[in-house]
This record gives sequence, structure tokens and C-alpha cells, in this order.
Amino acid sequence: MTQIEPHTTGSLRVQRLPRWYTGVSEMIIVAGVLLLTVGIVVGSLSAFILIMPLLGWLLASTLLFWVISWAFGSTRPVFDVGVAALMAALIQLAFSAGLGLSLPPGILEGVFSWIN
Amino acid sequence: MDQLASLLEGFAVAFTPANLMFLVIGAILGTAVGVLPGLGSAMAVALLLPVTFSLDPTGAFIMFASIYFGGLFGDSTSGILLNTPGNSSAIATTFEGHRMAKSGRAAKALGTSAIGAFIGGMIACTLVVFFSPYIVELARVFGPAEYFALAVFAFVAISAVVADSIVRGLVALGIGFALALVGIDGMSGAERFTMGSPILFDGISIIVITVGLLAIGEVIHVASHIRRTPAPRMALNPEGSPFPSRREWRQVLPAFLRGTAYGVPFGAIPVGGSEVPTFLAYGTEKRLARRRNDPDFGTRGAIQGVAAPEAAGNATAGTAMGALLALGLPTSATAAMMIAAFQQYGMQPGPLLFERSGDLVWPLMASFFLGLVILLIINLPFAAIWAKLLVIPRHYLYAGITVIAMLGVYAIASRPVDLWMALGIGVVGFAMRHYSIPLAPVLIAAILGPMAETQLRRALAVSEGDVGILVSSPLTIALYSVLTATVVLSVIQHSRHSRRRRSAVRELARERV
Repeated sequence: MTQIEPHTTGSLRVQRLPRWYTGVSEMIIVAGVLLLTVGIVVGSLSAFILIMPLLGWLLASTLLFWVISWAFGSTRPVFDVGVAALMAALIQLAFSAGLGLSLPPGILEGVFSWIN
Repeated sequence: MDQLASLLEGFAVAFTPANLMFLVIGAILGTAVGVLPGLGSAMAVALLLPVTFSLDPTGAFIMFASIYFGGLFGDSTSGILLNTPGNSSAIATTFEGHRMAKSGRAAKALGTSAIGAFIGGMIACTLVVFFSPYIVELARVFGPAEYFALAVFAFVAISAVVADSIVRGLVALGIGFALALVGIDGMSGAERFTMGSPILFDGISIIVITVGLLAIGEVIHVASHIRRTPAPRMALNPEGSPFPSRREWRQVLPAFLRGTAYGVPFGAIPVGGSEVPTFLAYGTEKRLARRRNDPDFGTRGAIQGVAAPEAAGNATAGTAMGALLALGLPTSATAAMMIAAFQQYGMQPGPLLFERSGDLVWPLMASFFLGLVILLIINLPFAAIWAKLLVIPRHYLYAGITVIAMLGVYAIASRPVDLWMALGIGVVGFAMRHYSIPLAPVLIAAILGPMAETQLRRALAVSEGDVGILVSSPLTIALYSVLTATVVLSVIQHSRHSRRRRSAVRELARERV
């Protein structure tokens, strides 16, 4: 009944433990892995807040989207980069063009002024 | 028949192209956040608040209202197709709805829930239009003491009556008050809980609180158990006609009306939305099914079990909007967010709103009716298209929620500090979910708390510190006695429930042995 399924999350993977590993140690490892996802989410949000003014919205939110989707178990990291960039770009477009709110351009400032 | 003339004028404003566009955008957004698990209409309104700052208030409120109704239209979709309700308001619909879907009647269940939501909302809105002037008349005699009593009623009702555990409800209420107190006190100019930092002088924005609690808290919570829960199975495909047959109409019509009858009064009482009435409606249908020996109920799924809770849910939303506009009393998390929106535009919902901003109130009321019609049109024939939203993988869904939450918070004032606060509150929200502390009381306390405080201080200023003024009028006495009665009843019910639960556990243990 207390069989432990393999806990996978993209590249993070904890195999079902050998039979002689019973009881507490399993629980500790499983709890550690569970907290790991929480840690990645909180950590990536903190990192996003720190680097967003420097890198700019476009790059920072692409990174945030990519890290979160990886932590939530995506198995196609390369494809994810595309989805993340598309999402970030759409938001940037909708905000600056549609609503006139400005998001920080960051290091891409030159590129943006060149496009405009 | 003053109301009718004002309502017709309201329709004229609501029918302008710009307002119709906001209505359709709101309906689509509302249905989408309703369908998607982990998103709710309260969060959608919170995220849109900073964006709508530059819009005309009428258009913004029309959009918010249709998001509110749309959320209740969409929330049953994932419940029926996946057995995972998109929101707590759809749990009661899920029981029979998913059984119907499993027996090949998914389209009919979706159709019934859309029609039920439409009928419930329509009846409730009609009642609101005709009764709101009388409620406004009643509310005009309200003084500070009455408003304070009303706020106390809301606090106690939402924390003690609705929550599973009274202690947890009170904890949530306390967290909400603590967050609301931060900042410079408007009446005396004293700094409270700012730790001397000018960043906190303006207090914590309600958007930061809502997005942190509901969006970021949810993302972290899902992250904490995503490896334990398997990915949801493929959704059942809704095929066939969504329209009930004539025989089914005869079954569901009384169920719609019964559900609406539960929903209408509960929208006006601050018990945190539509969970209670939907469950009451479901319970009634269950009892009725047993009485007429319906073999479908609980096995193949009975259509009445979908119809009644859905009608109850949207009926609550209708009267909740009435209570919000006429009394300034938020009865659910989404209504609380709309109060925050009114404050953003410098308006205070309540009896004065009908006098000062009649040009906003009546178009808004007219847009409820238009919104319900539009929602029925986009939900009834296209339920299968909405179900496609459920195909979005969970990792993209939550990554998207995270990015949009960050965007919404950053858009308030373009300050990274707000992002840090939202993250901190998100961690608090995660802890609250982990220990099953309800979230709605936090929002109600954070929004209604400052108002309650102002009214209390006004009342005490008038009476020069005599606390007796709080119970000096018949209205306040009536409110407090109803409150006491409800609390006593709910305490009895709570203890009876926990006794039953304990004995059930004991029995289970005995069976195991």
C-alpha cells in the first residue's frame, strides 16, 4: 500500500527506491524532492524579481516561464523556450502597443528603439 | 416603475459598441478562467484592475461583472468532463455531472449547466433590479453604527459559518486584518506597521494581496504536490445535442427554480459565495430523487443534480451584485475585488452610488442581462470548444499563471517591491492552503476591514466614546441578534458534524480490524 511511485519532473527524477529502503529514509527523500519543486518555484520568482529590471521584461519572463514549466514536469525544454518567448513577446506587445503601459526593456533597450 | 425607465436608459448605454465589446471580452475571459482549473474570477478581476485603470469606469465594471458571471458558467466544464471542478462553486455540480458524462451524456450535462446558470442569473438579476431601490431606501437610514454592524455580520458569517473550522476561519480573518492595517491611518495620520519604511506608507495594495494569495499561492501549492498527483486523464468528449429534450425540460425546469430559490437569498448574505447554496440545492435534489425512487441519481447521473446547483450558483452571483451595489456589502471574494475596483475609481458602493453615479449603476445592471444572454450564446453551442482549453498541459498553464501574476503586480506601480510583497504573501497563501485555512475571509477582511474601522470610529466620535451607540437602533439590534442566532446554530452544527465524523472514523477503524 505504501508503494512509492517514481517521482518525475522533466529532468528531475527520483526512481522508486530499492526494497531495503523502507520507512523514514524514503519519506525524507520524497519530502526533499517535493520541497525541491517549491524551492525552484520560489527561487525562480525571487531571481525574476532581481534580474527583471536589468534583463528587461522580455528576457526575464521568458526565463521565468521556462523554469516554471520545467519544474512542473515538462519534458520538451527546447520547445518550451519557444512557447515562453512567444508568451513574453505577446504580453510585451499587448502592453506597450495596446495599453500604452511600458515594461522595462532592460539590455534589449537598443533593439527596441531600433524596431520602433 | 421608475426602475424600468432607468433600466431602459441603462440598456441604451450598454448597447454602445465599446461597452458591448467589454461585455464580450469579459464573457470570454470569465468563461476561460472558469474552465481552467486553478484560476478564478476573483483573480481575473484582480489581474485586470491595474490594466483597466485607464479605461472608462462603466466599461471596466461591465467587463468585471461579465467575468463574474462567466466564471460561474465555465466552472462546471472541467468538473463534468474531468471530475475536477474548476472552482469550489462547481463541486456540487460535479457529482452528478461527471456521472452523466461517463454514461455518454456529457454534452447534455454541459448544456443543462449553461441553461441553469442562465436561468438562475436572469431571475436573480430581475429581482435585483426591482428591489434595489427599496434596499437603497432602507440603506439610506443606515448610520455608522449600522454599517459597522453589517461589517461585523460579514466578518463573523464568512469566518465562522462557512469555514469548516471556526478557528481556521478566524485565523484567516486575522491575517486579512493584519494586511489591511499596514500603512498610514487616514483619520489620524499615524503610521501603522510600516516599520518606518516609506514604501509601506500607502499600505499593501489589495491587488498584491489577491494576486499573491490566489495566484502565486496556488502555483506554489500545486508545485508542492505535482509529483504526487498523476496528470489528469483525457477529458471525455462532449458529443451530441446540448439541449434537453421535452421530457427532460419537464424534469429540469422545477430543479432550476428550486436551485434559484436557494441561490437568491444566499447572494445577499456574506457567506463567501456560492458553495453553500449549491450544496443545499444538490442535497435537496438528492432527497427528492430518493423520494421518487429515481434510479439514475448517484449511478448514471441525474439531470436535476446538475440543473439545481448551477442555477443556485449564478443566482447567488446576481443577488451578490445587488448587495454590492445597494449596500456596499461584498458577499464573495469576487464581489470584494469589485469593491476594490470601485475604490480605485474613487467611488464607494452603497446607497449613495445610486444617486451620485446613476449613469454607471443602471448601464451596469442592464449589462447583467446582456451578459447572461451573451454567455448563454458562447457556452451552449460551443461547450466542446471550451473543453479544448483543458488540453493545455499543466506546466504551461501554471507557468503562464506565474508570468501573468508577476505582470499584474508589476503593472500597479512598476515597483519591484510589490513583486517581493506578492511573493511573500504567496508563500503565506501556500501555508494557508497546506493547513486548509480558507482564503476568502482574508480578502473580505482586507477590503471591508478599513471600512468597518472608519465606521466604528465615526460612531464612537458621535457618541463621544459611548459604546452603547453600537446597539442603540432597532436595525443594529436586529442584525446582532440574527448574527448570534446564526453563530449558535452553526456551532451546534459544527459539533454535531465533528461528532459524526469521529464516530465514522471509529466505525471505519472497527471495520479494518
